[in-house]
Amino acid sequence: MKKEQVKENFQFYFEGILNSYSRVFFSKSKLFAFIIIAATFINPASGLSGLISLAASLLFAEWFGYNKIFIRDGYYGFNSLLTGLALGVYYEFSPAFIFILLFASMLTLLMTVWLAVFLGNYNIPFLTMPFLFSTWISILSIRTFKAIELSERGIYVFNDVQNFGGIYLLKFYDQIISLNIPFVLDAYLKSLGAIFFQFNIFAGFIIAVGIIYYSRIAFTLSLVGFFSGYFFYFFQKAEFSDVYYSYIGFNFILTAVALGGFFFVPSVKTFLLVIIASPLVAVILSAFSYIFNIIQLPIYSLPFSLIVMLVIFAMSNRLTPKGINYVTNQQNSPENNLYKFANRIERFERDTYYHFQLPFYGKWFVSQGIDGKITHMEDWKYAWDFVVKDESDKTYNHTGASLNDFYCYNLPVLATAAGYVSEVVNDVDDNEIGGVNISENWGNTVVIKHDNFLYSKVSHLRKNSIRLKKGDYVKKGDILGHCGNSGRSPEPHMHFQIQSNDLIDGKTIKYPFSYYLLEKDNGNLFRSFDYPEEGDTVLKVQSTNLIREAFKFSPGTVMKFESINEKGEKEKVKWEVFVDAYNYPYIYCYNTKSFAYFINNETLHYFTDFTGDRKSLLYYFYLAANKVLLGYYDNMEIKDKLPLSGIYSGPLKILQDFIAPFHIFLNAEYTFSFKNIDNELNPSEIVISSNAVTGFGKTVNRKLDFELTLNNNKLKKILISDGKKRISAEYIS
Amino acid sequence: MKKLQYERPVLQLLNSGTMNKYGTKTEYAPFTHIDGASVHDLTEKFGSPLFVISEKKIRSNFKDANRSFKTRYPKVQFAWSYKTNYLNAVCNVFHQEGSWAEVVSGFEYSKALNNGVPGSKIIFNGPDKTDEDLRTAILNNSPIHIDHLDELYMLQEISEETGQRPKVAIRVNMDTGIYPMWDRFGFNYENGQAWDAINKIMLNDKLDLVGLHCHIGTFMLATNAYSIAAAKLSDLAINIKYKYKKNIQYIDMGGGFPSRNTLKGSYLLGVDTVPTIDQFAEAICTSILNAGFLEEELPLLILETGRALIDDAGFLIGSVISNKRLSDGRRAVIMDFGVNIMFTSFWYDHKITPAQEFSDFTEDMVVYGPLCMNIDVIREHVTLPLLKRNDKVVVHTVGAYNMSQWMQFISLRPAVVMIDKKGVPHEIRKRETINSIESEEIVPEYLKTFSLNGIEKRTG
Repeated sequence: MKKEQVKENFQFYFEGILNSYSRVFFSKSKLFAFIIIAATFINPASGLSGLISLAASLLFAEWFGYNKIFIRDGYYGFNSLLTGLALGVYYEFSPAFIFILLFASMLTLLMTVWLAVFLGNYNIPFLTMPFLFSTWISILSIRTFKAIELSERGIYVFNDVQNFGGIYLLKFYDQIISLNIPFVLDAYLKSLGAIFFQFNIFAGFIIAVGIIYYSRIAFTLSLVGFFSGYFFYFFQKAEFSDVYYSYIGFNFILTAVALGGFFFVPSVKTFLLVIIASPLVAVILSAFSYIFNIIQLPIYSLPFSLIVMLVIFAMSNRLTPKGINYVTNQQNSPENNLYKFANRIERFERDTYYHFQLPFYGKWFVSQGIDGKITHMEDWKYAWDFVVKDESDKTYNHTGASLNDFYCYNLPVLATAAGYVSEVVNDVDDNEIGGVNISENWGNTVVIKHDNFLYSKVSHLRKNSIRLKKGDYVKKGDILGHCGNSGRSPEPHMHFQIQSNDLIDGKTIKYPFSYYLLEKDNGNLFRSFDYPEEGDTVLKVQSTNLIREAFKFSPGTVMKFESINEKGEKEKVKWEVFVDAYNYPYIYCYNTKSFAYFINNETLHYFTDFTGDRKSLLYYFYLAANKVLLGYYDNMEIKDKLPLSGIYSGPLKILQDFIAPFHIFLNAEYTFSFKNIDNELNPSEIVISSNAVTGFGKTVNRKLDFELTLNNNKLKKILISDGKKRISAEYIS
Repeated sequence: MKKLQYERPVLQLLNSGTMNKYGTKTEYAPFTHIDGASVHDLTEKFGSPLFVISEKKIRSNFKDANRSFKTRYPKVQFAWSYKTNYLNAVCNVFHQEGSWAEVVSGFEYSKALNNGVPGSKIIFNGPDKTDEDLRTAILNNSPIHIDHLDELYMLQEISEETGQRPKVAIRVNMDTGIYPMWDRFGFNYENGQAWDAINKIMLNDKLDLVGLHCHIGTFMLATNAYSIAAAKLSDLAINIKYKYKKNIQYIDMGGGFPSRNTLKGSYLLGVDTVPTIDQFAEAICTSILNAGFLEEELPLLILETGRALIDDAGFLIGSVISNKRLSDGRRAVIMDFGVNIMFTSFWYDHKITPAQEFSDFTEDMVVYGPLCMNIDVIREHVTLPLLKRNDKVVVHTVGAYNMSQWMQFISLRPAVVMIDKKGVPHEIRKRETINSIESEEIVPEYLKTFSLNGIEKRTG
């Protein structure tokens, strides 16, 4: 038990330290962290000082009892790391220095907490502000502490290089210098190194490789940012060498990554934003350098922090995103931010709509749709008229002279969603066929309030068929009344609209039906958050008990599976369903510590996100059940897009990453269908077949096939075929 | 100029209304074509009499009924009642439309299986299911509707013996306010028999109770009776849920919807008095929706509608054999079809229309069949135009029961053709020959010879 505790603690600090390193570059990549650590130790004293300061800060934070997740994710550590690195470059290593370093570290931590809360109120990130304040304070105060001596490190690069790698490295360094690296490239690499207070192209090169590994988009951004700054100086006839010698060119790089891909979803527009923001950085840089020179303080990353804070604050006070979208679900990688965002827009943009189902049983025909030519005009254009038709497209049998001849007359009209009845008219006579009642235009009508400023209305109901009164609560699917021919209705039909007020003649607002089936060539197409069009035959989705029960993952549900792969290796896997602090349910895999977030809305089960081990059974299940219709329908296929992150790898993906902000050519598509049902009357087993295909154009890059067997109201079996891999998992308890 | 058709002379006493020069005029036109196929051509090709079935009408009937229910209730399934008409072509039209099969004997069960209906979609009804029938049905996973306790015990025994768990429903009979009450089938609702049977099933795990079934009568003219029946079955289902935490999968309302035929003795014509399927659908669906089920636990509604879907898709073409005058002066016409192939003429006043041009003059007459039996009366009174030998007539609305209840008596049974959607006739049952009857006969060797007038004759 004790041993496990120690291991857990070690793991916690270990992750905290790594994340703090990569966090400087807005990343959470461990390998990237190692690369940065290596780079910081080119100047060992500085590297060590940084590490000490960071470790101290994490210990303090844990000891004071701050949020462990923030500590582990590096939010509380990265400023202290920078403080340590900065001070380590300036001063000779001595006990006195370490003493001061610890206090500087703690000061940084306290500043971090304060700024995190203070700026958090305005939704502004604190960035490197804590580091700046505490480092300046330290530098100023140390001037009075005689025990601490200035260091020459960072000034004499050759010495540093020799200290780090001996004479051979020095010779190698000499050779590289004699290669006559173009000035700008040299400046770029040194600026990169300078982020971690390493003023040599070695460190810069290592970090550049690290950035490419971490994010192709970030790398491109770093170049765009740096060169926009450079060209600005060029045009303004300013001396870029000022920037070069003071090693503060990295401000352009950090600003570019922050604005271009971290805080905003990478796109052409964020690239333009970076190009616009770079001169601003330059302006701030020049202005503040002037002031700071007076008190002999370096300005470090102040321009970066100020500009990014400024832009974010300004951008968060816009009315529309206009292509510069704030990242709401931070993935700590510009690529993933982009792919997740693109996928979310594709899949869930309309999920925020209130769910309205169709107001009837069976197949109805849209006789007049949105912008209809008969009456759906101007303020009342977002409405639908529904009737019932027979095989020969007639709406009536016999002569059609009496109301009863019309198929839709007297059919039940259902509540499209739950709500309170806010208005009822029930006493308008039904017209004879061909007659219209212009004075009581809407006829018998029910208006239901679903939410503030969200009402639905059905009109032209049969006289006295409404058994509700104002204030009654109706559930989704309750019968409101019966279809009739009252009001401005020459033949029986049902009028439906969504409106923002409770008036009988309320103006319509454009609002989709959540889910419905569209009849097409003897089959049905599944439609989500769509608008039925004139001439469509539509019906509502009916769920099937077995599927609904099998996908009912209530919090606390534990599922255990035994899987066996093509090599015959067996594994037992344990999942449990939880709900997070934001009320989002997810399945957690104990074996791989993976999370699969899902939504179940009684029509669909779908996964929204996955984090963790992408070789785990849970990941495959996340793909296999990415979008499951909870009602059995023969011959129906549902397609959806999967996020590119995770499912793709290899050179194509790297190429895609580079150009992703401008064009996404790869795709990952999900297809779902029902394969088998043992008995439609009382099904005890339903088999779902799904696949995930990645590729571009018609080229298939990777194809995964899945089969899910539902039996006895449980997910009984998962079959996976991924290239040569074959996994079969069976539910055990 | 076309030669005028000969029509026998008629003398008629005008006894109502004011005198006019037209006499009593008929309102209807000759019925010369069925779905575009000429009646005369059909008899020339397939003989007379001849049953004709309109595929188009079956499909439109089915679609109308299906729509009536599905626009009022979320889960609806029709099961074709085999006994109403089990010609395979007819059954398959229904199966193509998505209908399951409802059978009441081992024979019908085999028919459904042979037609390719999956076992789980054959509903097995009826009081007479043999041990062998039940075993086959259980093997095929068919829902078995239990009619009486002996059957229940038999199923439990088979289940115990084979280890299978049959899917069953019980047939419930009840007072729905109509007379006569069909209480000879199933278990009574009011006196507790139904609960007794339910308890016997639920307390013993051998049988899986999946549904509840009723069939309250036939040719029902009161929609309210269905409301009551649906409410009573729903009440059972909901209380089974309360008592045993068991969701009943389906409620089977049986059949009984009337066709547009006119029942004997009714004053008005059937087409004017019979409720529409919409009205029955309204009664049944409203009743179940208001019963108090949770929306996601609403049971599947099964309908075993037979007659209402097929009756008006069936026609019988016949020929006039002779005209006669009866002793009391009434006119009579003898047709080549009788009650042997038109069993339903015992129940209905079938509409009969001549298939050729006729004048405005009509006469009240008796229509007899060709049998040498006094009961062979098709219509006791019918006002028809003046017919002569070999004229063709079409009898309407004969699709239900005639082609399953017909008798081979005195003469052979006629052919049946189905007119497809394009108007092309397909023979779906051949005219019987002497072989069709004698193929099953066995004459003992010692009876094969006999001698009349001293000349020995040997048969076989």
